Amino acid sequence: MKPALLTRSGFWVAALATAAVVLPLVVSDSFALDIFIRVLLFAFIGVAWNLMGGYAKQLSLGHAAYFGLGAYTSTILLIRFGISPWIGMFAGGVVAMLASLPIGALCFRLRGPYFAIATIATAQVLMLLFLKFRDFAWGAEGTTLPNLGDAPLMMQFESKAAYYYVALALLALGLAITHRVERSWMGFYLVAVGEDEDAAEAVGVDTTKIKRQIYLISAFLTALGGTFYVEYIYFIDPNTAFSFNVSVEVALVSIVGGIGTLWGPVVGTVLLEATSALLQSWLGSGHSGVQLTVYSLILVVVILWRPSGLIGLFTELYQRVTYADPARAKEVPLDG
Amino acid sequence: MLEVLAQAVINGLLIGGVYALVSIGVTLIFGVVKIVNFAQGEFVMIGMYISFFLASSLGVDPVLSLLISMPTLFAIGVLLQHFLIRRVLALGDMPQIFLTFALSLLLMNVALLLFTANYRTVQTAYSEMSFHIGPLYFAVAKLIAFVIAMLLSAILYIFLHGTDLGKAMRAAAQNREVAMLMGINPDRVFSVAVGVALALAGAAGSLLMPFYPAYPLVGQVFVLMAFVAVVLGTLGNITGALIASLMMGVAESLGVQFVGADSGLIVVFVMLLLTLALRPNGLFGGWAR
Amino acid sequence: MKKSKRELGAKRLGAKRLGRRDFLVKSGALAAGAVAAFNIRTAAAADTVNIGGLYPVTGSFAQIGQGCVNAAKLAVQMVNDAGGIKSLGGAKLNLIVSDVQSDPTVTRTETDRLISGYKPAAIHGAFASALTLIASEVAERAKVPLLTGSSSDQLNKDRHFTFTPFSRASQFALAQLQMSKLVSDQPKVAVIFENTAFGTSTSNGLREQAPAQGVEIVLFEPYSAGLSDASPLMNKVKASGANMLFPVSYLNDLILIIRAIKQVDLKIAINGGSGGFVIPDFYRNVGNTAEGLLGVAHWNHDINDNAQRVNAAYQKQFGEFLFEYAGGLVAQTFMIADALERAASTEPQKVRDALAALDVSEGYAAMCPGGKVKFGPDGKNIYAHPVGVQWQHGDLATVFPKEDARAQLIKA
Repeated sequence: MKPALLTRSGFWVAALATAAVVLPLVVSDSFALDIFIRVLLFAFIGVAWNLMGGYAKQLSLGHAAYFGLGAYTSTILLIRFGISPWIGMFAGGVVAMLASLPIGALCFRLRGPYFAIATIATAQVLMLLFLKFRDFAWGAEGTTLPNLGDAPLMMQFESKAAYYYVALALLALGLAITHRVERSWMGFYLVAVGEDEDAAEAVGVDTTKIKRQIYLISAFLTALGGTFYVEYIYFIDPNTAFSFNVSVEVALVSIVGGIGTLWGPVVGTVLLEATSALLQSWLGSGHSGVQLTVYSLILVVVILWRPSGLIGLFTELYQRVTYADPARAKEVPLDG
Repeated sequence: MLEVLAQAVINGLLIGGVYALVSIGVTLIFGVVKIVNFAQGEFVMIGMYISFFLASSLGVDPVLSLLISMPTLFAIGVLLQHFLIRRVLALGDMPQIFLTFALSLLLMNVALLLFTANYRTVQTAYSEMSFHIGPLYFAVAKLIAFVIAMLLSAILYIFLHGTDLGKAMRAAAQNREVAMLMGINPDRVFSVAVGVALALAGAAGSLLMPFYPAYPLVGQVFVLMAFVAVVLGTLGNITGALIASLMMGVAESLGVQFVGADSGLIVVFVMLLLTLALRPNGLFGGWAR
Repeated sequence: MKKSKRELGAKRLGAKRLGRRDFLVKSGALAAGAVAAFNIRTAAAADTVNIGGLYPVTGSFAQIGQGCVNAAKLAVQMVNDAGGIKSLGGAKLNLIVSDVQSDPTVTRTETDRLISGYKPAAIHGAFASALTLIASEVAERAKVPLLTGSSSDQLNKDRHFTFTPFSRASQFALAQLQMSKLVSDQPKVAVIFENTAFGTSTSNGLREQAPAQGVEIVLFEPYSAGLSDASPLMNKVKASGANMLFPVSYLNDLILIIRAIKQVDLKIAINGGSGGFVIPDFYRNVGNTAEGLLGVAHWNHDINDNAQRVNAAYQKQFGEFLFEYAGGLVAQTFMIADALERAASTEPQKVRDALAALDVSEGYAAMCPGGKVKFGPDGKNIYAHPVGVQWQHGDLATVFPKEDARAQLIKA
């Protein structure tokens, strides 16, 4: 077997990774870095969602539940107990995993739209609960994070680039895990469940166990993203932490990019965020609703035209560009 | 005390009528076309804006503007089914869910672009009127909405059970393949179903205008209740949706009165989750009676 | 003729390699272009001073945000027409407006972008308390002074760069309680409030101070904003036996509440607090029913002659009266101008120090209730207090306290 780096895809990954690592050294504009951080973060959570929603086709619209649990856990540990968010992040992930068990038990019995509605409801219930918990979680008003200056051990950095690298590391983690899962037995079972759950059951796959396991992973990763987010915007409140918009965006980026593929969420996030940034700079402020209008139009177009996501389009385009003879853009059998 | 209770029940029933119009539409679409229309609330919003503009520029009473908003939304529904929904019918859960979802986002934000976030209200002679029977108050505008909502539901029932087209719809809902074998054109049936559902949403919008402000996100307020009612009443069951909507209205009202005004939403969601857990098929089971 | 596998394979491999290089070059060029585009900055020209305004021009607070931006532009125009900053050679103020889209993340990135991209000497904003808190965090770390009319008490904790010239949430509560005694000897108050930051902070102030003011709170009810029906709530209010209602709500709920009160025939005095209650849109939506309703505000357009003057100019240009938050930020612009004048520099740290030393009692910079501004060590204006207002003939009149009243309180 050729070493991974020398294969075609290995080369690309290495190139991309190098570019990503070098980027903050080349681009110093704060706003640009903010955009990249946002892309990395949402690509990461999109990857987390994709494990469940893309491969196993369990279309959750309530992933903000885990995002928020991660965010709140690390914040509570930080402000009430002085524990570093690095540890808090991990703790948040564990809390999310624990939460995913009863939620999964309830929701996995449901299919399709029922499942989606149930997940929306769970995220909303959590938001409402946290709006009420004034005593240990600051209730509706939320709280800002204490200004610790430059404190890398407490996940507060003076330079924007540091946040970028943390987000990049998270994304790399998510991609690595997805890659492993894809190639493992679990990956095969997931796709089987996603294709036809009843058939998978009939063949002897323990669909409940598979769904539960992938949910654990998905919830854990999403919670990590939640912690990072709070550390980045210095503020938390129930509306932000359990925001329906977060739930929607993480599903959206996978669907637009390529549901059930490794790079799909990344492609989707880059596309959506790039569109968003462009819109903002062209139109400036004062145009309510343009951004989301465009997002939803993109979504409608993708669903009607390429339901499996745009990544297929890019792969085809790439092949067309690299083959001198466009007629050979598609695979030809080697034997005549 | 009894009078407080009675008043709470009355308030709940009256607003429940509006929830019913929205939820019947959702359940109708689901029953016949087998798709959950996440954008139903936005069609209510469109109905509200139609009524608002008719009222503010031509002085048409919002309730009367039903006669315009309902056919308009029916037409939109037919177009929606023909151009968009039809394309995703064979594609599976994900595209179906996200299509109507994307539509919902799209409509909300286009409305935001066109109309801005400002609240639009209509003042009618009866907007703040209420009459009372003893110590109990009935807000006139809400009562009118309730009565007309019940009327429309009754008309729908008669349509589904008394006309050929209605029976064809029920047949297609029960078993699409057999219905096709019987010569029923599913496309036509689906178009009518979506059209009717959206017309009901439009009616809800017009009926809301005398006492509720219109703004781009207004659909979200009602669609939540409607969805819980739809699930409770069993997806596809129209009578179920109606009864469940009234129940939800009353439950919400009683919840506010006796538990707490901010617990109302939690109660609703918990009811939803419990139903999904214990009786995923809703309280009533089966297609429309 | 059939080619051998090897030949075919070799050709494909060759084509690939060439294509890959080509692709890399093309995409590299694209990427470089994009990177270059990102690195464009705009610093102020030599004879202008950048100041920043962060407001929710889009999203759920859009109506108010737009009004604020209008007022901000008017204020800058006024400063510049009066000669700009004389100690900086007549330099004109240049307002950079950033839309925070009523969203926390956007607030975070926009504040950053505003500060690092335009290097303002000072900034003001952002209306909603949650958004202002985030902006304040960013400003603190970037060491740029922020002025705000937002009332959250958290804004005065552990900060050196945030200045609040106007009354705080707890002061609003006190004013409302005091006003309730003007209307009734035995005030029995029902407090209903939306359960997010705005409602919770104001209502807590009410609950804490009521006993000391001799006001009995008979109902204290949080509710979820975005009511589908206000009747159940009003039913509860009626059952509580309250003779006064303090709703702490956003505009859409206020509309429903006011109407529902009429529908259940509830005879009750209302003090709607500030926020959505004291904007022209409230009257537009509720109509005559608004007449006589009481509220509180941290600024009103009739508190002194300067305020009246600005109001007249605003009304001429935008067709409605200058509302609380917008009027307040006009004063803030002048405070910034005053600080720039004394600092004779555009460096944020020096401007901050000049603001901390601010002590005015005349001119547009002092245009607030009481007519005096001086900041304490926690950024609070030691003279700040709210005023009670009442809707009279479609306009908002200041009726409380006596020193600030410009009109008589009309009793129902």
